[in-house]
Amino acid sequence: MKKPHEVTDLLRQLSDAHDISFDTEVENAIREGFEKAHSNRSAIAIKVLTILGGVLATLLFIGFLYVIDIFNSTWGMLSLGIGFIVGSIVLSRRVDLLILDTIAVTLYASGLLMFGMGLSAGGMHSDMVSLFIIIMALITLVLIENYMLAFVAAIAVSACSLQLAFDLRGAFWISLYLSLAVAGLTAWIKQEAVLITANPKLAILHSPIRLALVCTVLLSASFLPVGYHAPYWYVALFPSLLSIGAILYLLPSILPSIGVQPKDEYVAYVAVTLVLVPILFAPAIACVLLVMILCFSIKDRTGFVMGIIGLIYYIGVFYYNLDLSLLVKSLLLMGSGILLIVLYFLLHQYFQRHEKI
Amino acid sequence: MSTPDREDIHLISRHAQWPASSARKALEEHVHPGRKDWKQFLELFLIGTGVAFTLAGIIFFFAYNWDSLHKFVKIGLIEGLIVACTLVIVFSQLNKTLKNILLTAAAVLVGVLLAVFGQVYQSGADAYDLFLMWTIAIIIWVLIAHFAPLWLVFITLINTTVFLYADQVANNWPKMSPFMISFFINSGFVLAGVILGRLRPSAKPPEWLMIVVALGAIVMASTGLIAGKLMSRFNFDSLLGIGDPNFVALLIGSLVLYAAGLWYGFKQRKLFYLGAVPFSAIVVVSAFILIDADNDIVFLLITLFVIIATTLLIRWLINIQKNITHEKAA
Repeated sequence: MKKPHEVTDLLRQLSDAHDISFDTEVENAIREGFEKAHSNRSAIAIKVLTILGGVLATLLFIGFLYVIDIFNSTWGMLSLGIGFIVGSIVLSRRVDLLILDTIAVTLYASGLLMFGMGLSAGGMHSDMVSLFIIIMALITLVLIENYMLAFVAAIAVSACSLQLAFDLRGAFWISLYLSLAVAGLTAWIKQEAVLITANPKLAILHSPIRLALVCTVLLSASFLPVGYHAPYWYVALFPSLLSIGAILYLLPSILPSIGVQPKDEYVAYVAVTLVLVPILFAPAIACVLLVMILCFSIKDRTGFVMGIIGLIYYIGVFYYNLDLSLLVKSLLLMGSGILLIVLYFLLHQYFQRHEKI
Repeated sequence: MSTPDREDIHLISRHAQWPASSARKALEEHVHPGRKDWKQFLELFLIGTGVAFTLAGIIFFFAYNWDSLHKFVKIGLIEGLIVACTLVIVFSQLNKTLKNILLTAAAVLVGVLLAVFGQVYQSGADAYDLFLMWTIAIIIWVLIAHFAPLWLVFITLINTTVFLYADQVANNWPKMSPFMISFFINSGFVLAGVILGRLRPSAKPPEWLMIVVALGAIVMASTGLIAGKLMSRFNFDSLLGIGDPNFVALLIGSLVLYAAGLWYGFKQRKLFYLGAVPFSAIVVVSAFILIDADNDIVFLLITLFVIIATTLLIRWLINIQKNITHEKAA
């Protein structure tokens, strides 16, 4: 992020490059925004610390509520839950200070948990509880302008939606949920410019919701039916078809970026399709590969690293669950490995040839 | 003139009404990866996954053919692969990164060779023997290659050896002892990395490796201290008590090395050490109080302690971050 005194140069640079102008009032508002953001700027270490501190404090507070036996009091839990949620929203809106993020995150997370537990203790069905929490989290997203709270609210929406899909007891619903998450993430990332310019609030919420969507795809892929003997295993093809389709959809923007000549684009399409077809039957791998490519395409380092870890994990799980002999698995792995190494050398030579030209 | 980053473009979008096409163009020109980044990603991805898959396939192949292969074939094949890898590394014209990836693959194959050897000759050795031999066998490669992923494999092997030894051989050791030893070993590597960086800047380990190993050391110290305290509280181990030498050694070692970590983080302006070390201290202190608690209200007090301590820590880190920014601007 630029420092406040660099804002004038930055705006002039963007005005010249894109033939737009920023009037004085807008320029002052932007400068004020930069000053406020700069004072609240945090390195990744501080963001991680805020989340860890919030998680630890939330767990300890839940422990306290357990020992004082408040879990049996429906109204006690509901009142405390709603009070904490409202308190965290008011705190984040009134006092825009980074150091209070831990308190706001702790209050909000504890509040949501107690709200949900209060509704459950009152005899409400788990589906309705999830629905209420989703509504509460969506209202929060409308009201707040805080990165951490937005992330927690978005994760709450994802987790409760997954719980709803799970409760419907069908592989179809989980596949549908993951397909929606994959489509949502692709659209959210590809339409970044449209979203951030459509509404000022979306410019604040874009990054935390993007991170929440990445977490959603990576975690919910583990709930897909595994193996061809699982009931309705074919519904797991929906998200993998969608992911492969999304990767092919991204190719027209990626190929020129890496220097593939227009005459070679058809070859590239065929090669990529051939490489992707085997992972049609490995939906988790297809989804995670899409996450990696999407996050790399916008230089989202956090999402990219999460994608790499997810890819290693899901490839391991895939081969572990394959209902084939170890010999066939080993031949498959070695064959895939050699193919990838050959592709590397072909690509390397292609790049070298065209760089010389 | 410096280029805008994603946060700048998002900030401007909040306050200015500029068209989506301009925002898209700004993102593509200044934020999204360029040709060099894409090429590097594709090449590293293809070679990395290619080598990993091939290696895994080899391991699975041996797992399948275990019973039917003659012992000389089993051992000979793996040794042949190791020799082939090293010949390619020494005599080929491949670039340095590729050679280091191959060397890492060879280092993993050494472990496979030792496992096969142990199974063929039914040496009756414990698992820690395998990991210890594996560690010793690859020391020279690790030192010569000075390749960060290979160092990570090496350090992981040392830690695994310690835990397996404690589990399989040293049954009379207190349960927290492997955590203590692992903490000192990992801290030693971090210290060595810092000193090496000072003496030979070109050989300085990459930051990600230092952070991973330091994080490992911090996790071991925290777990060891909490485990030691738990053991003493519930008398799981009659040797343990607050006067137990292992516990005292870990406590004093943690205090000294944590102080050193904080000093290093402050001097070098590295927020990771300034955040991770104090947070570990917060977790350990909270656990100590919780373990000795005999009152329900202690839970609430600890919650407040964690919130206040973390908030103060974040405030301190923000001030340091601001000072770093001012120093860079000056």
